[in-house]
Amino acid sequence: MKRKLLLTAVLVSALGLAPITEAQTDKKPDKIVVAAYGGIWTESVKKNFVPCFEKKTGVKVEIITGESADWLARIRANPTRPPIDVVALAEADSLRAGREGLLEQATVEKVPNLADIPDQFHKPWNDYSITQNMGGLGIMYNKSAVAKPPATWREFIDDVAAGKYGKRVSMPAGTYTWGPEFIWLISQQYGGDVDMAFKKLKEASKYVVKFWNTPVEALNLFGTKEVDALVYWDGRSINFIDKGNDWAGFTLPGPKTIAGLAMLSKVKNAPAVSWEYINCALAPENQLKHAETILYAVPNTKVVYPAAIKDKVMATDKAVVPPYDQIFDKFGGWIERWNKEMR
Amino acid sequence: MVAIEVTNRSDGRAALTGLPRLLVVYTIAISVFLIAPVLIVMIAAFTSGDFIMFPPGGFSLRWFDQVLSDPQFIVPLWNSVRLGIAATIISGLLAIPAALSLVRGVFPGRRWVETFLLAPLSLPTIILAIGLLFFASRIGLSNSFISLLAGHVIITVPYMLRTVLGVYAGVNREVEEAARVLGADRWRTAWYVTLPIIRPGVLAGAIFAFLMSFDEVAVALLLTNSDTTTLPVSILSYLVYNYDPAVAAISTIQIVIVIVALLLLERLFGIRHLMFASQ
Amino acid sequence: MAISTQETVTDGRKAGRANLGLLMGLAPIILMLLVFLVGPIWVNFIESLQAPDGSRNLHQYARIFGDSYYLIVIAQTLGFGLAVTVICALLGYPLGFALARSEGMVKSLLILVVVTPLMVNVVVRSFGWMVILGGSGALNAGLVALGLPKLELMYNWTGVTIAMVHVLLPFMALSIASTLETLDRRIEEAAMVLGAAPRSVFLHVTLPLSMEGVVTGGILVFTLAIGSFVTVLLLGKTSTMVLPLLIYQQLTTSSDWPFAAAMGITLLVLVSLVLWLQSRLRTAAMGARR
Repeated sequence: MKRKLLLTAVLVSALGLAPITEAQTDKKPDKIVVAAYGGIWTESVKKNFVPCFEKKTGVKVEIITGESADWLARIRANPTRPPIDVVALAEADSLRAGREGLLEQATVEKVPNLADIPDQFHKPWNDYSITQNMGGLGIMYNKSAVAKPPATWREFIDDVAAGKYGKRVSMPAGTYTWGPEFIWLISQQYGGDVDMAFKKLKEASKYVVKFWNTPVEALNLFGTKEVDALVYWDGRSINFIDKGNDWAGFTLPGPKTIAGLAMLSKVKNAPAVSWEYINCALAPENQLKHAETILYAVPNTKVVYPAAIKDKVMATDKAVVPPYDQIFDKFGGWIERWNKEMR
Repeated sequence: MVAIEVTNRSDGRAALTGLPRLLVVYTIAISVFLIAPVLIVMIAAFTSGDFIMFPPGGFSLRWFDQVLSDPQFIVPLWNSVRLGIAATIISGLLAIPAALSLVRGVFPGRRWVETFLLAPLSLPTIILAIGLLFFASRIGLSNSFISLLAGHVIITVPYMLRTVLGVYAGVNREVEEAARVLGADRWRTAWYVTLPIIRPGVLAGAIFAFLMSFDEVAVALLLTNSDTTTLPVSILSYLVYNYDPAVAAISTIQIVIVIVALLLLERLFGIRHLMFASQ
Repeated sequence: MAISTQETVTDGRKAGRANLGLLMGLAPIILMLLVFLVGPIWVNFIESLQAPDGSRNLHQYARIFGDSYYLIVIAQTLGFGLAVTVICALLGYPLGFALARSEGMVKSLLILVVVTPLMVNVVVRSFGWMVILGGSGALNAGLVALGLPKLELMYNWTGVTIAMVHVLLPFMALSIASTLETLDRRIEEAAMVLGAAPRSVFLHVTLPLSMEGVVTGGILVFTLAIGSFVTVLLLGKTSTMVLPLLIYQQLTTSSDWPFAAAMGITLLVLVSLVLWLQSRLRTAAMGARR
């Protein structure tokens, strides 16, 4: 009997503690829900964007962590009562969500700071999504093994395929979130020929320890010195080098690399006050603080990087935003081809 | 396979309980295999460096300090414990009576029912998760703790069912019949006779169920909100950007909690009696 | 063995009540699954009928079964699950036996050791394996120190299988142990008293009577091995492809839910078929033995 009581008590307490979710009212919300990646991203949002928003509106911000695909699924499932108010989708998912009518278009009236964001960072998305910051894909290398870092992407791929790095290289897989963009980048080095990109990557694959699927897995390969050259994002690489890893170097090969964008969108049917959050995130002073925290370039043209981070943050003209509206319908086919051919 | 050493032919029991030397050596070897990767993670938690490496960089408790003062981990940790306990208990309440009915019952389509009840095992959890996300919103349960809990119960219930089935199928029903003959009704028989016999299966099932829920990520990723986020979700989100021993530290805390829970079970009921009731 | 046991209920009224009791035992779980399992499966099934041109047909299934690549991946997935199950059964039986027959503190300690792999998140656990199996990892460092050649243990089926067996072994060992524990020891003792050698007692008494535990462990291990993808994602490479990993890719990078749903339904049907088949074979085998 005592046990039964104990069991009942545990059950009741476990269920009783279940939080009750309240319906979102459109007029005066107590809080808005903002999506952000975990770790340092969440930290930056809390430190650099939230105080501005809470001061201006008196509305609290709740952060939900996860990844682009999860957030897209969540707002797709509940379009009338979205569980997320400001979402941070990847480029392709932003396009999908915009096309499906899940997002709301931004204007300068709603988001005054939009005026300082160059067109290429929101126009291709029909203003459904605005770039918050961007990463540049480059190469992190072990200085003691790689004497002269490659100047161009073409040189790098050809050298890897020729075995000049040995079997000590890692690159993103075509199936990684920005994998299709990587395939596009390589195709650009061979006159935009995707077949050539696959051919070259297949030749290089003999010397690739692993095509990585998650950035942390990639950093693990490099940090434990299983590879000497790693195709990786700039902010993450420089953060790594800054943590006392002087043996590592980073380069952005030419002629132009690709920019990976973190985008902000107001979800349709989310309270109007959510625009204020996006405006705060795009304000020059907060953009700068965000860049200082995360070492990724920010799009606001009024931002002037101080000397301390000037060399660390990518200049906007070094990267190009892939023409998503033209290529993203091909992503599914490229991923399928990657699985079949890169074995 | 296992050569059973005969120490005393006249006392069969002693010969079987004294474990043969070969088996002891094997058990130690396989224990090393089971512990090694986990031990590496635990050791990495005490490093002073910024990376999970082996051998670790110097000794420090800084990562524990960081994790324990960070609500990003601690709140989800307790959410996970609560969710795991609730899912386990509900699984037990659903699966145990079902297992008893399945084993003792003769009815058409019995095999089909069993296959149906084990079906959650055959469905990849990501497919269950996305289906549940849309289904829950259709029946008006979106973003609620109920749909999260329901998802976890669906995932954990087959484990409980199958382990109880596995144990109960081998139980001699004469004992139960004896109780019935002596005048005990169906429920008393189940409570005082059957339940104690199947305890090993219930406990094995409960351990599986709790640990499956505790480490479940697909359903949790889509059905938690910022109040109900579970530990695996926050670890996964943290790992999107950071790869430092903080993850090892929170894993170590997680291990300690599970061990303490198991030891508590041992103290309260005696795991080895609970799990292995027949002796 | 359960099949023939109900006959002792003689009078009809009693039988009726017994069946009502049975129904009451099964009703809650069936109801739960009908809502929260069949509901989501139905959502996926409807989604899987969605063709790219907007019509509803079996296009997505034709994509799977009309392409040798996907058939190979299905075969690979089932083969991998089977291999992991067999290895777990071979490694797990003696472990479960030791667990069941040990006593006191040793037993408590062993239970803790056996469930250790389940205490850590799958991603973190995989990183633990990378440290051990990597090209310059702990294991290879040991081999080099002994003057032996390095082994390629990661980014192939070997590494994926090692890590998968590691985390699924607890399911096998505990299932076997709990069955062995409820086994009536007097049967073994009787065989001994009647002069059977220990080896033959084990082979002819203990092993057959504990098969139910192996089956339980086998079902859990097989379905878990076939349903998980994180280990394969981190420790495998492009050629070590399994169906759940393809599903994950379709849901995340490709954002092609209809195709993912079709693959999920296919996997569900295939695995359910395997489970149904083993249940049928088992009943047949029991009938034959009787």
